[in-house]
This record gives sequence, structure tokens and C-alpha cells, in this order.
Amino acid sequence: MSVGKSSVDQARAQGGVATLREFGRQVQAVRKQRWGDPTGYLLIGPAVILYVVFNVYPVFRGLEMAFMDMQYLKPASANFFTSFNGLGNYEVMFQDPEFLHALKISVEFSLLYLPPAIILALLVAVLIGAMGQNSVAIVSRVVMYIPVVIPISVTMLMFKSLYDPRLGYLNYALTRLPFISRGPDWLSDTKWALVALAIATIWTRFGYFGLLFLIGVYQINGELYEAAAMDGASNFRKFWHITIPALRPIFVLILVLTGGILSATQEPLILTNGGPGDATTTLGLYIWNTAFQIGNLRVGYAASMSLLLGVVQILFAFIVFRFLGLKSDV
Amino acid sequence: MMASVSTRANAMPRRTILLGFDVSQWLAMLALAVVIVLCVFPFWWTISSSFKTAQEILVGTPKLFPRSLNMVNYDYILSFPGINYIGMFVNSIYVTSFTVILYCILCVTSGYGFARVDFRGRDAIFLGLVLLLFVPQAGGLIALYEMMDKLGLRNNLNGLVLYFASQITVGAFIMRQAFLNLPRELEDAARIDGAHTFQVLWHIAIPMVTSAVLVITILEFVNVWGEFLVTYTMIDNQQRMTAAVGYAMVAASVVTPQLSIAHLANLSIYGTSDASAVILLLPAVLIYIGLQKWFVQGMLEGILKF
Repeated sequence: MSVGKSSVDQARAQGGVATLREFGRQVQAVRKQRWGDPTGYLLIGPAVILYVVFNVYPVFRGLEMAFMDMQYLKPASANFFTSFNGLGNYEVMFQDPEFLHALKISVEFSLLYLPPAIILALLVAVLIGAMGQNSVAIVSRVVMYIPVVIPISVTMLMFKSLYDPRLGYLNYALTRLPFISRGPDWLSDTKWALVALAIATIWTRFGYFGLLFLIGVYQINGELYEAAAMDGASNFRKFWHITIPALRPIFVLILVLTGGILSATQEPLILTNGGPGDATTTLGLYIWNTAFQIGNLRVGYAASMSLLLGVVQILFAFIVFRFLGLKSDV
Repeated sequence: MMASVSTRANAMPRRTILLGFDVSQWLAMLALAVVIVLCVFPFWWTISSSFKTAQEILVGTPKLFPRSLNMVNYDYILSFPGINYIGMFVNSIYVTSFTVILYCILCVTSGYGFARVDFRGRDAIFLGLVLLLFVPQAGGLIALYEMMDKLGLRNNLNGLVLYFASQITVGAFIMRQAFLNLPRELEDAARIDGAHTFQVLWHIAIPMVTSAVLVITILEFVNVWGEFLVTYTMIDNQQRMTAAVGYAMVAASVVTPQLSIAHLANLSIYGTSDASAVILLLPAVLIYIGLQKWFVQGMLEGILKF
């Protein structure tokens, strides 16, 4: 499309209407340069609008709520200006013994759950990768993801029945071992409840990490292993110097994704409802109870705790990126 | 035992081969077999327990297999007055299928828009979408509750469908990646022949990314079928409860004493909760196993390249 004097002169020579038409054409050309193909907006429009309504707006509203003393059962407190209380929620939070206890439980839970889950997933993925197209490997691949597929409420119900001290299979299997005479009271003993929760969560989620690791393992160039073998490398050295560095971006991805485990809510809710007592009340569960179950439903307070958790997650992701980087070594 | 001796000049160490696998491979297979058993066992236990009568469950030594395929537990829960098992199951099917359909449409169209159509702000919007995954969810669920209440979508299955389908980030990311990997020549050829964007999308692009579409379908189906927290928070009305939440709530309650003693004698709370667990997990597991070939193929085709 020629945007120059000649076309304008030609149009002017033809008279009024033609000038307008030419002007219109030139405007369209410029608009197309600046805006591109408008069907793009049509294609992404519905999805983005729905996303903004249900996922972006709540973030801002939640941020607002974190600095208000909003209580859901008192509708008057829903207005930002009437119940704004600055950092008041945070002052209360750090004095709140239940909050501090829930924080401790969340940290303990993460430490009980994350390392075993990641290590187990890594080992399984490496073993499957090493087996190639072996039928055991193929079955493992499918089976390892099944616990992820099962609805969380089913998983927790299953474990409830397995953990029963007298009727559950776990204690029965343990007592078959020569050195154990009585299995622990998994869900009623404050010492074991968190471990029980961690085991159930590891069972449910390790397949997901395993699949991510497996994708990474499959992308490693096999020739690297052959070259290492010819140089006399043992299996362990191959694992340590080839596999692990190649999987670094996946470690990063997993660690960033699992920052959210601090706010785990549904697992403790279904398995133990925070019990016995408050031995398994994670921070996520405490926040949820504060907002939806207890007393005046202090959603402002709950939102401020959520915000704190969210900031911790971001910091954690930032630290992970800083120290582990984004790109693979291999 | 057969031993194979290397005759190559750069002599590799002698390996003992038994039935085609060496020692380290046998160990690996053993380890994997243990993992398989551990994964499958709780699942097997639940299915097997669901067919047991109370006498079989309330014994000192639990047995791996039920005495027979006794449908007592299933009859009980399906005919229990006051708790609408079938209704909840239907609700789950409704929410899950509509969500998956809407989700796929939204992810495919937006994925294609981000991948192949050039418009102002495209990359910025996409980046924003991805970054928002990392933004702190300060009381996101709480604010969502308030908003959906005001919109009248809260205690409502359609509200659930809209909410679940709106989380397009992962799906759009995968679809965009899949579309980006397609060779441009086919689309260019179609455009030269006069096709406009939607025709290209429908007739050419989509048929070539079916494995990616299957991947996001499976992921979304499985996520929504078992979704607990949001559903439990949003829905109060038992008529509208989905199975994932409803069955757990029922299992947590005590067996009602309204039944005759004889009937009670054959049931235990574990048997009935296991039966409801089996009904609940079957669709998700069957869909996964049925479609897992495409799922794995989709993953390996490098949709999720790093």
C-alpha cells in the first residue's frame, strides 16, 4: 500500500469523495501496522476476560482485604474505608499463638514431605529412564501417576482406613515384622499424625514430580552416557555428573511449584481436620478455618495471613532461581 | 548362568548376564516393582474392602482378598435414603464435562492466538498470564467467595464450571507451545488459497495438535473430578454437591441407626466408605488409563520442553 504524496495527489485530482476514500485507506494501513491482526483479540478475548474476572480481580480484592479488619458476618465491614486498619492484622498475627503453632506445623510438614517426595520421584524417574522400553518401565510409568489421578478425598479416605490402629492393613503388616509388636496409633497420636499426613501426601504427589523428572530424563542425550561409559565411569558417576546437572531446570520448576505446600489446606482438612487437637493444623488449614468456619469469619485477618504466605513463596522462588538458575548445564 | 566375554579392544568389564539383563538392571527392576506395589496397594485394598462384609473387616487379621464379590456395601449406599449418591455423581459429571469442554475451547483458541496471530500487546499479555501464577494469592479463595456470592454464582454448579474453566494458564501455555511447533508451510499455503484465520485454525491447525489437546483434556478432567477445596467452600446445598466432596462428607459421618440390626450386622463404616471411594475414583482412573498412551506420547513429543 503506497502511502505517499503521489496517491494523495491522484486522489485530489479525482475530486472530493476519492480523497476521503484514500484517507480512509491510509488510516487503515497505519492501524494495521500498530494493532496487527484484530482476530487475535477475538481468539484470546473470551479466555482472557474469564481469567481476569475469576483470577485477577480476587488477587486485588484479597490484597485489599489483607489490610482491613473485615469480618464476613458483619456486612458493614466489607467496605475498605470503614474497616481499614493498616498493619493491624499483622500486629495481631505475630502475637497469635495459634498462628505461630500453625506456622511451625506447616514448616515441619514441608520438611517431612518435600525431601522424600523429590528424592523418590528422582530415583523412580532415573530408574525408568535407564530401563528404556522395558515392560517393567512402561508399567511403572503409568502406575506411578495413578495416585495423582485419584481424587484427593478418596486418597485420604483410603489412608484413614489403612491407618486404623487395629483394622488397618498398615499396622498389620508392621506387626508381621519381627521387631515390631504394636503399630502406632497413626491418626490419634500427636507424635505420628503429621508423619501419617506426610506419608499420605507423598504417596499422592510423588508421581507428578516423577513425571516431570521423567520428561527431563528422556530429553538427555544418550550419547553422553555412552561416552562416559567408554571413559570408565561407574553408574553412580554417570548419575551424579550427567543426570543431575541435566535435570537442574526441573528441580527449579518443582521447588518453585511446591512453595505452595506451606499453604496445604485440603489434605489435613480431609484426613485429620487438624487433629488430634491441633497437631496437624497447617497454616493453610488455620487460614481456611479463620475465614470460613470459626467465629465471626475474620476474612481480613485470613487474607493478611495468606498474603504473608504468598510473599514467602515468592521469596522462596526468587532464592531458588538465584541459586539454581534457569538453564540446563547439558 | 551365562557369562558374556567382551572381545573388543577397549575391553569393557565382564558383565554377568542372566536372561538378558545384568545385575544392575535386575536391581532396578526390583526397585521399580516395589514402587509399583506400593502405588497400587492402597488402591487395591480399597477395592477389595468394598466387597467385604463387616465380619470380614472387623477381624484381627486383614485379608487381601474378599471372600466373594459381595455387593452389600454398594446396595447400602446406593439405596440409603436422605443421601443422594447418584445425584452427587451426576453433579460431578455435569461439572467436569462442561468444564473440560469450555476449558479446551478457551485454551485452543487463546493458544492459537498467542502462537500464530500477530497483534499488539500479544507477548505482554501472555507474559502477564504466566507471571500471575507467581503472584501471592492473598485470600484469593476468600475474595472469590465474596465475588461469586455477589454474582449469584456461588452455591451453583455453573459457577463452578466457569471458575474451573477460567484457569487457562497451563492449558494455554501447552497449546501455544504445540501450535508454535507446527510447520508454517501448511498454514501459509492455506492462507494463499484464501482461507482466513478461523478456517486455518479449524481445518489445519487443530487436527495436527490432537495429542496436546488430549493432554490438557486429561489434566483438566482429573483436576476437576477430584477437586475438593473450592467446591467444599462454595457449595452449601447438598443437592448441588459434587461426588468428590459429598462422598467424603458422608463417609466421615457415623452409620445411622435407623436400619434394622440384621442389616447393620453386615456392614462396617470402612466397607461403605470404601464402596463410595471406588465409585468416585473409577471414572478418573479409567479415563487416565484409557488415554494414557496419548498422554505420555504428548509429553514425550516435547510439548513440555525445557
